[in-house]
Amino acid sequence: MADGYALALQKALVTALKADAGVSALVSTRVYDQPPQSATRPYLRIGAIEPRPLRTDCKKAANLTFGIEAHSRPVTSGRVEATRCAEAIVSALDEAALTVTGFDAVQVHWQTQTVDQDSDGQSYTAIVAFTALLDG
Amino acid sequence: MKKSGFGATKAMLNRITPEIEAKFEDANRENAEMIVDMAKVLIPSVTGTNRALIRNMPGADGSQLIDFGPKAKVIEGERGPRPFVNPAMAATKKKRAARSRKAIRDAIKAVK
Repeated sequence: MADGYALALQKALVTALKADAGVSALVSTRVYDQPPQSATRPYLRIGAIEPRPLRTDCKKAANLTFGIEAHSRPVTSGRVEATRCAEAIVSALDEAALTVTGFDAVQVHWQTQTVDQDSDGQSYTAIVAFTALLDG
Repeated sequence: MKKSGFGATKAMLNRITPEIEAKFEDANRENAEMIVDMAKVLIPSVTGTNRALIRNMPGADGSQLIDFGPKAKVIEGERGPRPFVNPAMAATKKKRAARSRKAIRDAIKAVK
């Protein structure tokens, strides 16, 4: 069975993030859907993907809102590392020509980002939100 | 205060059909869904429980009530920072305004 919008986009995102030099410099290849318990920080995690069908007369398409999370536990630098990861994610994905198997990625637009301290008081999480339009 | 042109506006308002009202409701629903989607992406939650509780509920008059779930109150307090509600509202503001403007423009065209 072919992948639907969400799974096809997720695969494309992992590929694009791992291939980006700016992202790799910060997290190496640590881009996860479900990170292992002992994952070295910083790492990226594919966050929520919310697809919505687009009603058109002759074609199928979907608008997807998705997030990429950067998890950081710096010793001294506060939110700087998480923010750097967020900026690298934006640089890698904003208006990127993603290769999504089975679909045409018409546009990928950065919407917003948040960086907050986690409840453990040591970790920071950045969430970068995008919207994508997939055709097909 | 001088009031003029109300007669023409009133006449246009009287020509609003249920189809035009339905278009307004669609625009309003799409705007609410956009906020919900963005909030679901921005909520700092490892599990999907709190994410799933974010939803929009349509009112009988075409309004939309957005429930951001219990996490909104716990981590944001009454007047504190709102780490996923306010960013979701702010990030979608321009698109929501554009959609609303388009609905109004289409309605004016239809009744003029």
